[in-house]
Amino acid sequence: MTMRPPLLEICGLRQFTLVGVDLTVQRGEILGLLGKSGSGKTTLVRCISGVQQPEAGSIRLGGRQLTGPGVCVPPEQRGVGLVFQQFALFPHLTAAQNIAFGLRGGARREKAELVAEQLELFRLADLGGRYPHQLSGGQQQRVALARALAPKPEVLLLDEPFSNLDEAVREELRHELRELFRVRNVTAVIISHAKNDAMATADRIAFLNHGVIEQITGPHDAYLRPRTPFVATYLGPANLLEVEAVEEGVETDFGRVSLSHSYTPGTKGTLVLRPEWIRLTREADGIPGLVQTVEALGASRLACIEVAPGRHLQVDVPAAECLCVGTRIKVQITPPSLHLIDPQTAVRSGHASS
Amino acid sequence: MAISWGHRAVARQPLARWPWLFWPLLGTLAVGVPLVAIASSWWGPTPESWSHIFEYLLARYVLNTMGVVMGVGALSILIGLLPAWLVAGYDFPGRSWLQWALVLPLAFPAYILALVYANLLDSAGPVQQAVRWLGGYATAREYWFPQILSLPGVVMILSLALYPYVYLICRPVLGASTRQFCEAAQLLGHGPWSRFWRIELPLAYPAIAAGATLCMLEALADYGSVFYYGVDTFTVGIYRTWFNLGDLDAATRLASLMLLLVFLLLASERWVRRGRAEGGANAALRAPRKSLRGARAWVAFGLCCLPVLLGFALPTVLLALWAVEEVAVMITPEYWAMLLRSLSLAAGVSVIAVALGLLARYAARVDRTRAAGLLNQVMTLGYAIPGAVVSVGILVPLAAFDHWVNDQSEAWLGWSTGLLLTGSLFALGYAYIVRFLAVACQAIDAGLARVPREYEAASNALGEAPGRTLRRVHLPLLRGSLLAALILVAVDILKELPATLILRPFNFDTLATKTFELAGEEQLAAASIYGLTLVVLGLIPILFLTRYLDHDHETTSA
Repeated sequence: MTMRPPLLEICGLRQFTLVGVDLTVQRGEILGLLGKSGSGKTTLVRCISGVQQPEAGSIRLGGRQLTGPGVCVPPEQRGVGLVFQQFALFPHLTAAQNIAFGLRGGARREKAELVAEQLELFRLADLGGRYPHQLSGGQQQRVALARALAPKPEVLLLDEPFSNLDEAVREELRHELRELFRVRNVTAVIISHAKNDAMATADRIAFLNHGVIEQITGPHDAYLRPRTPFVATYLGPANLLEVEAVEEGVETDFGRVSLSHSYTPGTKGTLVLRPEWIRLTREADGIPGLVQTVEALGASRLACIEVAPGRHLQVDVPAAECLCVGTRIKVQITPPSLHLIDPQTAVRSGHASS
Repeated sequence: MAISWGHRAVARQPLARWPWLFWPLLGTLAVGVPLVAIASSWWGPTPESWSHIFEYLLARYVLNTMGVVMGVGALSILIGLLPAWLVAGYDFPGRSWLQWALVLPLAFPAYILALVYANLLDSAGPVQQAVRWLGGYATAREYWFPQILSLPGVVMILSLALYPYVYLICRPVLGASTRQFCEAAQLLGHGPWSRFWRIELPLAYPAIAAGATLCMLEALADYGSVFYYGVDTFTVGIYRTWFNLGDLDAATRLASLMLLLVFLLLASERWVRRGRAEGGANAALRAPRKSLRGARAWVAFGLCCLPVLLGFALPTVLLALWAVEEVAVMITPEYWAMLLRSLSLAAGVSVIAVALGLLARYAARVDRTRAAGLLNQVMTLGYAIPGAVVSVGILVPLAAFDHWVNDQSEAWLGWSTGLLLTGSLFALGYAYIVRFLAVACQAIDAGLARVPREYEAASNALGEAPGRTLRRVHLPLLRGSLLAALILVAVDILKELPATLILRPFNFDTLATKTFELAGEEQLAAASIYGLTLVVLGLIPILFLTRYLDHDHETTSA
């Protein structure tokens, strides 16, 4: 994609659940690492930070080998910052002392200025003298961030930075972080299991499933063109249909569906259909179905429509539209692009042509 | 119908709850009376021997006591902290059994350890015999050998016996539990040395302070070893003033000074803990232990073995060797009678202490006012007060009562009642309860913590008053904890020496006093048999402890 060498480069990393992870992060980029619990996210971050030694694989940061055959740079010499999930603020030190902890050498005044600057930056100016247990969850999180950023690490790792916060604080912090990282040109890897956190903060998202990275791409692209069923369903509800491409559409197990996009006829794969890409229609050629359940989501409703015996489609219906359980309706499928997940996990994507 | 039940429960609660306050009040009164008696010693006229004590003895008592207490504080940290740090953070051969073996010296009453080391290291002992034989010396004057019967000797003995307190309290806050803080420090550029000094040690300060304070309180309370080693501390002074000079008032004044020391110690521990949050308590921050290999592993093994060897294995073997010489002669009906007497006294008093503890603790759950909580706190103060102080504090009011009753009886009825309370086991049992009520309460608290308050609410809502709830809900649930409390208190009573020496009725001996007496008379074999019996009994509560040690990494318990 780009000619610049990546800042962080991970090759064939193996440890516990991780079975060969390849990953690159560009300078100034925010990478989201998304996966369910137990998928190996934390292990990966611990390997990068050096507190854990992987069985195999290499990690390079800014051209320097950190981990590799016969090489293991100790964590304190890596220049990697880590924000722990439980913050791990030193309970015997004040917020300011916590932040100063990583500032080594240099004059005392210089350090004090740096700490004051960090406190200011994270809106903690009045709280420097407080001990961690005297701070709220959001404040503790900001101290943890300030502490990790103060020594200016080359890359900042954040392990589930939002999981210990309630929804309101979370949203505010997400916004703040993104802005801060952009302004300061911080390279960060944010680990999360919550898609909203990753989508809102990351430039690119790496999807970790069963110890491998299934896809790395921008949040928008991942939503439109997931490479695997895991990625497709992780980012939101999706109808996954086994189809075969034909002229002017696809052949499904509930009949032929004509689409405005074309694909090489004969190709087989999984069609990803987001609920909002299906709408109710009065056209005669619509697909007939029976409304089975309707779930209110606020701005819209998620309806489950039986289009063939045992075959259901999730459909996003605008709140204003009238829809009752048990009624017969017709739906039309209108995806923005036609995207098939290859059964052999290779990827082919067809873009709008007509 | 459900509604009427509810009404009954609600209506009865305020009335039913309030008598419960009686129990913590009784406990507080029991602990408070001797304290007040001691404090009031300064109001009366100056006791006759006070000026003598003040002029010639007090400085020695103060200096020796300070020396022993400070020395034990420092040395027990030195002995206890390192194994705690190793066992908590690292895996090495033998770790799994060493982690509980390190607690074993707690089975030794300090005065028995003192007896063992005095006989091992004094000039007639096997070690110096070997030195003379190897060096070709004829007498002990021809070479230098450290004098065991001295203040440093006492400090060493007490530290060997007491370091497990430091070990036990520090272990959970070291190593694996601070691993994540250490990782955070590592990522912020700190090497192992800096991490130890700036993270691990400061996080452990409150625990170290708590452990060392316990050791120092026990050292302050010790009578057997200091007396045996000829180090005149406050306890020796109190004992001597009462028994040799017969001056109870002067003894009480000495006790009050000792009490001052106790509060000083407790206050300084508070001061160390000030404003600090407990470190390492967060179970989510736990990390696996690191494995040590090769020479390092064996060094760790050796360092952890040393205190067990010196504090338990060696003395036990020596006691057994000495005891075996005369075991046939000494295991007599008299021995069994003594054992039975000691055990029944300990069992009887511990039942009373545990019952009072349970009723008072339960009262704090029924009656959730601040008074109930406060009384419950004061009630457990006795653990910090040395046995000699408690005894003197009890002796003063009880002797006054006895004399009053006797005078009244002689005046009105014409016959003497004798010493009703101080001449019987009442005074001794009372002292035990004051001293060990806290031990009972601690075990009961551990059990009550696992009984959710909802159970009480549910039982109350089903129409059961607090009393019947205690019997039908808590007693069955607390069976294990109550048994543990009974055993812990009973064994502590068996080992107790200073209070027993002061308050026992004339010619009444327990295992502890008999061991102490025989040791003083240089009857090594006989003393070893009684001492060994006490050590074996002392192992029982340690078994409870090891169960706790095995389970302490699991968050839930059955």
